[in-house]
Amino acid sequence: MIVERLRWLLKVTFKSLARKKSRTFLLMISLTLASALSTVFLVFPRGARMGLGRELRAYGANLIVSPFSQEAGSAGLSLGLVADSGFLNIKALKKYFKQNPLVKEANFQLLARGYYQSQPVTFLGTEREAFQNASQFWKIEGRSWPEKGEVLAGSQIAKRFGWKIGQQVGFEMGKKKFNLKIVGIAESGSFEESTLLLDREALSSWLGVNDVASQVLLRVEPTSKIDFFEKELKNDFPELKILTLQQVVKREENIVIKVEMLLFLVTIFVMVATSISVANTTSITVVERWREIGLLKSIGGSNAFVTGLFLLEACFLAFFASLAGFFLGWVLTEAFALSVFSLWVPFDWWSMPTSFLASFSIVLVSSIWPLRLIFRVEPALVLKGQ
Amino acid sequence: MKRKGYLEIIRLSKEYGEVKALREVKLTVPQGQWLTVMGPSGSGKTTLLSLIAGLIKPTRGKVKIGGVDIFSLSDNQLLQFRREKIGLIFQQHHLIPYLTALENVMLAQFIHSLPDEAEAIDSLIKVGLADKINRYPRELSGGEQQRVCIARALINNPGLLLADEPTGNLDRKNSELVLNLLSKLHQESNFTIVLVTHDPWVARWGERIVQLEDGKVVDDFLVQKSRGRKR
Amino acid sequence: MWLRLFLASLKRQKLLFFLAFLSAVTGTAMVAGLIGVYFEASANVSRELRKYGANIIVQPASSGYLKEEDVYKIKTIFWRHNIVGINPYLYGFAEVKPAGKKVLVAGTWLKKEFLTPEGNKFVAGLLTLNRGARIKGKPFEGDQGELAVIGSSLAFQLGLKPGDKLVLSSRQKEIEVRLVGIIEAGGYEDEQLFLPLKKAQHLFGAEGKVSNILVSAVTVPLDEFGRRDPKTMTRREFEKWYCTAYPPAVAKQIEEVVCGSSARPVWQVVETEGKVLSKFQLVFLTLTLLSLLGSIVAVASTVMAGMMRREDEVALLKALGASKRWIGRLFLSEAFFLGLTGGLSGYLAGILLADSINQLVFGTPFEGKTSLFLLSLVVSLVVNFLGFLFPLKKALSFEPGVVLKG
Repeated sequence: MIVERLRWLLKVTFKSLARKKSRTFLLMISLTLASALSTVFLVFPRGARMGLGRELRAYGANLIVSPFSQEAGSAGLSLGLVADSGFLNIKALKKYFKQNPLVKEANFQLLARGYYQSQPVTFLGTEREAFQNASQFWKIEGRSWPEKGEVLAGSQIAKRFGWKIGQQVGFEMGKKKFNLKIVGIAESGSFEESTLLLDREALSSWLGVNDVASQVLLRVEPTSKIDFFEKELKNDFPELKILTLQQVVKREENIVIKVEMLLFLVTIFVMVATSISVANTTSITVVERWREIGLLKSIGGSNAFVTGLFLLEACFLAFFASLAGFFLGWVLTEAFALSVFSLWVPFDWWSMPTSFLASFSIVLVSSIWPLRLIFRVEPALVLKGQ
Repeated sequence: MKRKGYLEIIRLSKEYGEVKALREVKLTVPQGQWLTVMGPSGSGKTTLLSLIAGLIKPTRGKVKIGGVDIFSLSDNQLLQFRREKIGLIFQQHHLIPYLTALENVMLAQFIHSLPDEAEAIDSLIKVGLADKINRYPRELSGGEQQRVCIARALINNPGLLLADEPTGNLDRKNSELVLNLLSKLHQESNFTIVLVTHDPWVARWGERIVQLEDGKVVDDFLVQKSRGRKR
Repeated sequence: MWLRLFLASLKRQKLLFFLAFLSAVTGTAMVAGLIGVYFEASANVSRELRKYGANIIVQPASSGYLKEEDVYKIKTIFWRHNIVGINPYLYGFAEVKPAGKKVLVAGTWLKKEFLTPEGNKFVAGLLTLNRGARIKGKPFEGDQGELAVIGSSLAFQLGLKPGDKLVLSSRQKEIEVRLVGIIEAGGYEDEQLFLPLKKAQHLFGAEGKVSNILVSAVTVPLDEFGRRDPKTMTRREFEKWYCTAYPPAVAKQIEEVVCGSSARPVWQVVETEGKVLSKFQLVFLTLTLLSLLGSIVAVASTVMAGMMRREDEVALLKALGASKRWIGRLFLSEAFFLGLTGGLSGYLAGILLADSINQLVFGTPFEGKTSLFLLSLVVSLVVNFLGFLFPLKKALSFEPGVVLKG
């Protein structure tokens, strides 16, 4: 009997939706858009976070590891190197960093002092891949990577000594003397400008060392795990000096927090506005059906019955509209993410149903809310004329 | 002549603020009687009908149907009572536009208890719409729509049929059709009818006429039958 | 007559009008709020980006020093209002007694207030340039005094704490200072000893000189044009470039006022921030446009739903002999009324929202713009007209009789 009643109710609902095409269409459009909008606002911030995070990676290293024996306060300034004592063992560290998923980039650098016409100069030996990664935003004139017998001069040091691209320059290091060809001049806006950049292997062989570095510039992500990583590293390598570049970390964290907060508030705001709009449109369609409600009541339909009938309709509409809206919203989100950040927001099994449920409930709640108007309809209105 | 009143209206008053729509109306309608309420517009006809149907509440007074004081019932009981005992026909043939004639009748069954398709089809055949049961209201003429309304009003075998200007929107030919139909059904089932109209021509189908003016009963008499049946 | 009809319809359809009004307000508020936030968000975000550290570095063009007096001139360049942080440094090595260790001494400002030529107060120094820096104890203010602040890891190594007296000796001089604070800046600063600039100049015998200046400037992302070498530009192009807050343009302006200097953007910072900023703008613009579309549909559908109910009203007016134009005017004036009032209230609600979002996220108030006001009105009016137009057209096409029959 209940099944029979339900079947009949569903039939009435379906007919109401199917026969009143323009109204159904209008509601459908409005609900679908609302749901698409909420889906975009629910899903897109995740994409934006991923995209911004990737852009922020370009800030570069946020942790510097060096041996303790190195003199304090040296790097990061255009003062040249104070001392070049103490090395890191590359092999052990490389293995360690490779196994740690928090380490996204590791740039092993070897610093050494040499002389040019009895003036001290600093050599900075790096690895090709790490260097190219780190220098992607520099302004480099000439070639961007020195081969054997070549060197890339920092813009400051080049200016100081008046070096030009293509020039052969003679250096001294300890008792060794050698000539290097300047193949490029690099401007970074940071301490590298006062150094001579070349392949770490080449520098190692001049120094007569093997597989060592003066410091490692690390990119650790996510930044919230940096403290944890630092502690771990300190524990495993107590002999290392670890310096977290708080400025970089804070800058990233701050901007991520601000952008997320902004998107969150805007999302809430848009959700509320959307709900009000949906509630509005639904209210009007209820008002439009005033007489129908009065009729149902006058022939003995209770408030609960009429509300139930409308509720069923609202659920139907809300479900299909939010299904359509959800997919529309998702497609839009992916299109935006692809065009803005060139990335896909991954489908994950947790966020899909939650965003769908969220947009469904927004649509449902805001289309059910106006049904309270039904209680206000006087059945007697059917007796009165136009 | 003195039969037990099926519908008893006892000192019924309704005021809308300062406006007195009904003043102390007293009426007793015996079981099976066809009562026509006449009066100019604004005389309180529709208010009286709404009160009898329990759609609005009186300022003072009582309405008893089959001995039940309907305003002493709770809202839900009243609703239940209306479903069981009262059929309603309106001037505008109110039908749900997205349901067919048959479904409109079945909706009343549904609200009452359970839809019974065979019974609903039967009722539509009775009002002469055998070939139009699956039409939508839009595809029916005014007279046909009103006949669907009659079928709907009577589907649950109410004891009391209330009709508010049932022919108000119809031409003479269709009006006659509808009234004759009503007459026929009345004869068959012996329910009580209260019909509101301002048209003396319509009043001739009834057995008794009550004249309302300014919310008061000013005349109350039995009709000399020229057509229809006698009791 | 027209006005009476209008008012009567307003009264009769109270609920309908209220709903349509509410919808217009919400729609406009959403758009006005989002566009409002968008207008100021990029400036706010780039200000946020500039809270932690410099993006332009000024160094001597050749070896030597810069003049301290030129530091103040940075607040006189064309983009002076975009300069949010200035911090000069004078570096040198000195031996710390009694620890007996050679340390890097940085003469600088931690917090120094000065008046710009326009008479505005400006607070320069490390603590405003890098808002992440924390001081245990207290900082020295201005550039005088016998006080010092020590980097946290250096303090740890040397076992020093606030209140300690130190003797610093350079090749030129020996001075005595009192340690007042420990700085935790999270970087190389933590291994340096900070002195007031004038004191350090005295210590190193470099009166009136600085080694370099760090500058934090709010800039716009570099685009194709901004990246071009100004030397290759025509005069007009150069003017446009110079008057845009591109990092190299700001650097160039600084270079012009700081004698014998070479000012360069810190490329990694500048490029990263430029990218972040332009992506952020794109994100926000996209979302704003999307919600504009959403609110257009929302308002239009509310109005349409309302108009559906009033088809009989249109038919009645037609039956009474009103011309289509007359009816059109009547309804469109309703649309105008709704659009106007809804737009106005929506604008107010929108800036209220934009303001609270701004306050919450960036801690800055929202400065409304006339263009935003006009935009809200136009959006609200257009959307309402559109919403009225389609159902009105449909209603007008009906034969009066059809509708009256019910």
